[in-house]
Amino acid sequence: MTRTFIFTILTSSCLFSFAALAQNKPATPTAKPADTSHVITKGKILPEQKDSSWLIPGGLRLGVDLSRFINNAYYPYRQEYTVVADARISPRLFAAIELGYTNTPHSDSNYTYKGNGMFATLGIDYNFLKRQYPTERNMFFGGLRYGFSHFNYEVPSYTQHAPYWGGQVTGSFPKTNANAHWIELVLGLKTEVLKNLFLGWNVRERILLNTVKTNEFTPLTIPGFGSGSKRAVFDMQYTISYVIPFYKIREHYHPPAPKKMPKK
Amino acid sequence: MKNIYKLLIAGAFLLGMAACENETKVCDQTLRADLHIGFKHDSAGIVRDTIFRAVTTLALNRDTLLKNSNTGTIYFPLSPVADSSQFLVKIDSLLQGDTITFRYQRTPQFISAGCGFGTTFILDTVLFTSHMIDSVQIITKSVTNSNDTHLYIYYFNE
Repeated sequence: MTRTFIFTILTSSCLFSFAALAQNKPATPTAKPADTSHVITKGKILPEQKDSSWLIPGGLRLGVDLSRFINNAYYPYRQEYTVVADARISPRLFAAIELGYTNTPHSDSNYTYKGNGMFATLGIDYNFLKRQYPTERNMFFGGLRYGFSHFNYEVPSYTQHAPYWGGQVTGSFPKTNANAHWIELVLGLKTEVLKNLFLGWNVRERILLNTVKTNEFTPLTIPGFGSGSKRAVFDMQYTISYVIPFYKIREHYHPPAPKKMPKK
Repeated sequence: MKNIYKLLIAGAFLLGMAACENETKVCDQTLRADLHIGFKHDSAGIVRDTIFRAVTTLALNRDTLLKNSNTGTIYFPLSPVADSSQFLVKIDSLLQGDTITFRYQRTPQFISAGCGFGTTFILDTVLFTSHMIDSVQIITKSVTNSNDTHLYIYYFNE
């Protein structure tokens, strides 16, 4: 009796563990599945038809750009605050948006400068990373953005020193409104370090589409873009973000291309 | 796999700290807008660029800019505080100097975040004494940088 009991326990534990393994198998079933008739069908086993589909987690990811704070420590005249957000619209595509506010105070012996403005970028991210399991949310992505910023800047006072002639010229530059448009190319990573919490970094190249600088005066910074005197800038971002997973996306099984199928 | 991401993230973090330059700290002195003058001299019927052995220049009542210098080009910092500037040019310590007067319009201009504001000039009139100078030719009226030659001074044969 005891022997039978132990035998039952051992066999069932083996079978159960097999069932558990089966659940951890990749969601994309192999094209030619093995005979599964002897496996206990307790628990969910994905149907293996060609039109099978399953749900993968979607959600709105909200975060802040931490690199702006470090930037500010090195460059006191660049006070930038950026929030980033993206939402999954398909298994590989994400709609991405960034919003920010920039304040540009500067003062030295030559001039004082005041500037501030808002910016937004809008675009998509494409995840190149092949998921190792259906719910994996780590990303290695490339993205394309359109950026727009509306800002104003002024020089309340400036002083030109003329040491040779003895004397100085003072003046001011009035408050000016300006708009900037640019295109942004992004490449980066996002990693789920805790459940729903992501850390990520990305590098980006921004290419200005319109001309902001004038003959008389060039803004020190263009909010969201960077240097006001350059046509293209390189920048990076370090983000911490949290996903609110309030929806799911249905992913369909696509059978692999025929040429890749193993021949019998 | 996750550890690789974490390493990459940490690595990039350090990289970002050394990324770009503080533009408000750097002033590129080549952005000065001094008047750039070249010397021309008639030698055996051919007018050519020339170098004089002991050139002395100064603005009237100001410090010496060049003293007995061996040069073929001179730079004058036009005054941003007045609409005209007067300079003395002596091509040799033994010869008599000439006074050149420049009249111009001034425009304040933002140069760069590091340099602040400067003045650009548009030359209007050039007056000169003819002790040694034969004539003066204005090449460019607008003085916005020191790279262009703005003026040639033609000298008589000694």
